[in-house]
Amino acid sequence: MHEGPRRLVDDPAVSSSLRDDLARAGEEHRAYAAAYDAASKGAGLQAALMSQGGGAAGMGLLAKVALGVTAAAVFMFAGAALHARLQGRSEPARSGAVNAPAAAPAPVGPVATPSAQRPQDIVRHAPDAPDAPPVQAPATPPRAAQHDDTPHEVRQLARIRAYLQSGDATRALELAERGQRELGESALWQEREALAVLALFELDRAEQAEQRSAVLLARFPSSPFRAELEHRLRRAHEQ
Amino acid sequence: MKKRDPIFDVSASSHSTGQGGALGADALFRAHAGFVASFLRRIGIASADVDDLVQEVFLVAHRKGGFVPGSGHPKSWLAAIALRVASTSRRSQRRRREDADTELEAMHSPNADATRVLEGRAALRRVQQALDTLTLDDRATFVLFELEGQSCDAIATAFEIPIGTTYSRLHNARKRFIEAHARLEREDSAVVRLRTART
Repeated sequence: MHEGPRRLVDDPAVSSSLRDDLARAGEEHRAYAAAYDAASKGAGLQAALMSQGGGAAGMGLLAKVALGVTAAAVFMFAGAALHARLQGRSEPARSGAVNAPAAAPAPVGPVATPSAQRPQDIVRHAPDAPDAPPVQAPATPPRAAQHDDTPHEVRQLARIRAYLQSGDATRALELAERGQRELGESALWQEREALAVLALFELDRAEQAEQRSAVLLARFPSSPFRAELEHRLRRAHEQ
Repeated sequence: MKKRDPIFDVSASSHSTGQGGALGADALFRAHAGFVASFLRRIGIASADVDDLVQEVFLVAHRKGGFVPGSGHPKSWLAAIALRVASTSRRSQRRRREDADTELEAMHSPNADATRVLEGRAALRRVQQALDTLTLDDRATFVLFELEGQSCDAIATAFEIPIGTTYSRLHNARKRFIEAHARLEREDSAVVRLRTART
């Protein structure tokens, strides 16, 4: 087995003062980590991720503010980075790009990218979409994405997932579709739509799920959800 | 074997770990928030900003679907996320000099020996200032390897870089760190000599 390099703190060839300093820093590093109050500091995160029903009602004001700011920062950055990547792949581009660092690294997770196209338009133009019947689209015209919506969207997605996890696909679908109506072309449209499709699969509404899945994947050919959606489609066809 | 899709796999609980399942965000938070906080400080985030960035890191971890066992070490995986979050944050430029002092006070009890506290404070200041001379990537590699004891293999896996790149980063980081540390020690010695001469 390959043996990696020896740590400086264990290397007698290194000056003892440097090794002492590193040992102290390592000790402090571990002491700080051990003393970090994850129980209280994680309350805001847990409330956002795991909220069900009452949403983030139990969150303290500071936690809400912190979550809002941090979630917005994460999604703005990730959305901008993915946008840049998608432009290079000829996928639908979004209008009004978010400012991002010039050398923004690749996104670290799947991120929905708002498109300049509305879902209704996609239904008409998507190459994979069936001719009829038309795929269900938001009842009201979606409004433009607002960054202020992001914390709300995060909490809403957490609730949708929670409903799915608990087996309540009906409520998951209702909430996802309400989100699509209310938020329209928002930062997390793709994720909400993907969860709606999954809920449709769970409700044995495979035909609708397939239609909406086709629309979603036509719009975002390199969607991070493609593998999962295609897997569910195959399963539906096998049944 | 079907690749697990990040975030979308609702079959995996977001707050627990099943056999072979992902370690969800809140379980990760409980287990590793302290590490992430300490790592962020060491790579240059000001103490006042650490909590906010820790939350960002775990939100991103959640969006990635949590840590999947078998894909490296969770600390390295989280460190890679933390590095990306930190690299996009202007807060990484805002670390204050007094941080090293407050850090040390968290480490020692109020009754600790004053000399030891002063020595420890100087040691931490030298380490942090030497770290600050490194690029962010090199700094992260150095902290994970030298302070956290992670293997180069684990670091390479987490950062999705070749093992050779990891060795190269570590080599560069060590070279600069040792140089900077030696310079800082000379400066500290000069100050001590000056004070001694005055008294």
